[in-house]
Amino acid sequence: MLNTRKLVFFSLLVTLGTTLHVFEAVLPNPLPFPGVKLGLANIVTLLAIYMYGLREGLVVAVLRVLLGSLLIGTLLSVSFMMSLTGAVISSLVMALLYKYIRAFSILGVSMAGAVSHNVGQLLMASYLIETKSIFFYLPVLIIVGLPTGFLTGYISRMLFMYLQKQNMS
Amino acid sequence: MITKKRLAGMAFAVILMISVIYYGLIFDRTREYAGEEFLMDTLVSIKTYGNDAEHLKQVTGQAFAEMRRIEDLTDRFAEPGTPEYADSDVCRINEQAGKTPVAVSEDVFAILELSQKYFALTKGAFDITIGPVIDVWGFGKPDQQVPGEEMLKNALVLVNNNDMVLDKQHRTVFLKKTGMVIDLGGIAKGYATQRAADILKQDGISGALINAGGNIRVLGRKAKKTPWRIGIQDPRDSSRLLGSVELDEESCVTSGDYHRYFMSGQTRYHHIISPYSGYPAGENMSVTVITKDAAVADILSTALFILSPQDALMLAEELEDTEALLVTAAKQILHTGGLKNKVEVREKEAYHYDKS
Amino acid sequence: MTRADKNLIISVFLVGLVLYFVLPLFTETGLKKTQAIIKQEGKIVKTVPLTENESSRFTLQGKNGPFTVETQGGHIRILESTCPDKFCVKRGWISSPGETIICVPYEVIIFFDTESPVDAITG
Repeated sequence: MLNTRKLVFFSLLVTLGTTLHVFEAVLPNPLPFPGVKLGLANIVTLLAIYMYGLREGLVVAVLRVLLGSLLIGTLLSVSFMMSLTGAVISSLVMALLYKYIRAFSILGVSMAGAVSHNVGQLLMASYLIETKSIFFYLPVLIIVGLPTGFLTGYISRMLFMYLQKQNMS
Repeated sequence: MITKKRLAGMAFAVILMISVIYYGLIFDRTREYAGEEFLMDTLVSIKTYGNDAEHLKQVTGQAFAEMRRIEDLTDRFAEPGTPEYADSDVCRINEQAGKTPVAVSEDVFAILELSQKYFALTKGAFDITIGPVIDVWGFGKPDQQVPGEEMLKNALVLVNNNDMVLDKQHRTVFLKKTGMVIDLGGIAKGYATQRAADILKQDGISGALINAGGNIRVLGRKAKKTPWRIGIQDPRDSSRLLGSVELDEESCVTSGDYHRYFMSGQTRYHHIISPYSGYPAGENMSVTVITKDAAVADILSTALFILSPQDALMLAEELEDTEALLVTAAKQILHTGGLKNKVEVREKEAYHYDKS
Repeated sequence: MTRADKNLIISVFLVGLVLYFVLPLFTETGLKKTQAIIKQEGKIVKTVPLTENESSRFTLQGKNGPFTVETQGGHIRILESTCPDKFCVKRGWISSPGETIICVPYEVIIFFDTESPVDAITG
C-alpha cells in the first residue's frame, strides 16, 4: 500500500481537493440556498475511490475538508461540521455503490454522492442549529444534487480515462 | 367479466359506502348549548354538546342549580339573621366554634372530610382553618392591609385542621377553639364544579366544559371530536397565554398570585396565605393542577402553590393520576413528567423552560 | 450513462418533487401566529410582537458582526447581515407560521410562535 507512486499521487489528489474546496467556498452562490455548490472537490474523492478503494476515498475526503477549512479559517465552525458530514457520508455512499452495485456508471455514483452529500450537510445543520425547519430546503438540495453530481461525474470520468491511458491507475 | 348484475352490485356497494361515510364523518348532528351565571363571586360558564337541544338546556339548568346549592351551603360571608345565613353550614360551624358540634349536610361533610384527608397528605399546606388569618389580612375588603405581627401570631394559633373534629356517625363538625374559622375558598368552587359535572354526565350529553372562573372540568368531546385544549394564563401578562394543555375527562385548576392581591410599597401581597407562616406563599407565581376530581384539583392547586416548587412537584409525581405545571417565583416553568406530550409551552424571553 | 443511472435520476427527481409538495404539509400552518421569535445559538434572544400596522427595525450582534431585522405588519425579514453567505437576507420576508429564516454561520433562526386555539383559559 505504501508505494511511493501511490503516495505521491495520493498527495496530489488531496492537494487538488483542498484547492477546489477553497475555490468553491469563495465563489458567489447562484441560488439563495445554503449548501448549493458545484461540489468539484468531490471529483478527487471519486477518483480516489475508483483508483484505490473506500478507505483511501474517505481519507482524501476528510483531509481535503480539514485542510480546506483550515485555509479558509472555518475550522471547527458550523460549516466545517457540515462539510465534513457531507463528505464522509457521500464517500461512503459512493464507495458502496461502486463496489456492490455494478449497474451504476461513474455518473450515477457521482450523482448519488452529490445528493447524499447535501442531505448529510442538512442533517448536521439541523442538529447543530436545533431546528427541524431547515429541512424546508431538502427538496431543492436533493434535486440540485443531480446536475452537479452529473457534472463532477463527467469530469471524473474524463480524468479517469486519461489516467488509465497514461497507465497510472 | 362485467355483467349487468356485477355492475349493479358494485354500484350498490359504492352507494352504501358513501352513505356510511357521510353519516359517520361528515354529517354532524351535534348541538351546543351554552349557559352563564354569576356564582361564587365569579362568572361560571357551562357549555354542553349533544343531539337534543332541549335536553341540553334542561341539564345545564340542573347543573347551575346544583352549584348554587353548594354555594349557599359553603358561603362564609352571609349576613347574620338572613335566610342565607341559616342556609350556610359554614356560617353555623364558625358561629359555634369553641361551643358545640354542628350537624351539617352530606355535601359539606364530604368537603370537610376531603379537606382533612388532604391536610394530612400535603403535610399541612392545605388547611381550611386558615380563616382567622385571612380575616386579619382582610383581602377584598376596604381595610386590607399587612397585619401586625402580634395580630398575625394570635390568628395563627387558631389555625390547625387537627382542631376540627368530624363525627361521621352523627355527621357533625366541631371546631374546638373559640375564634376558629373555616374558609372553604380553596375547595368549594372545585367541589361545586365536580357536582355539576356529575349531573352533566348523563345520556345524551356527548361533551361538556365547565369553567368556574378558571376552575375547569371537561367531559367527553366537543363537536369536532377533538380533545379539549385549555390555555394557561401568563401570570404576569393577562393578555397572553403561557401555553396550553390537552384535557380529557379531567379537571384543571390554577392558583395564582395575581388573582387577588394588593400592593404595599413595592411588595405584592396576594390572597393565598401559607398556614405555616401566616404570610402569602412566595415561591411560586402560578400552579396549575390536572386531575380527575375538580375538588381535588382545587385543593391541590392551593396546596402546591404554598409548598416549595421542589416539594410541590415531588408530591404531584407521587399522587396517582395527578399532573401539575408550576411557574416559580424565579420565572421558571416546571411540570410533572406526565405532561410531557400533553402540554405546549409557548416560547418566551421572560420565562425559562427546559424542554428535555 | 447506464439504465441504472437514468433510473436513479428519475427516482431522485421524483422524491424531491414529492417532498417539495409534502413537506409543507407537515409544518403546522393554519395556527394563529402570536409573535416572532429570534433564536441565536439555541437561546431565545428576542421576541417580536407582530402588530398589524406597526413596523420596526433593530440590529443584533452575530458572530462576525451585526445583522438587522425588520418587521412590517405581520411580516419579518433580515434586512442586512455581515454573515459570509447572506442567504438569510436573500430569503426575504416570511409571514406564515412554519416559515423560517435561518442564518447558518451565525446560528440564528427566526420563526413564528403559534398557539393552538384553546377552548377555555385557566389561570
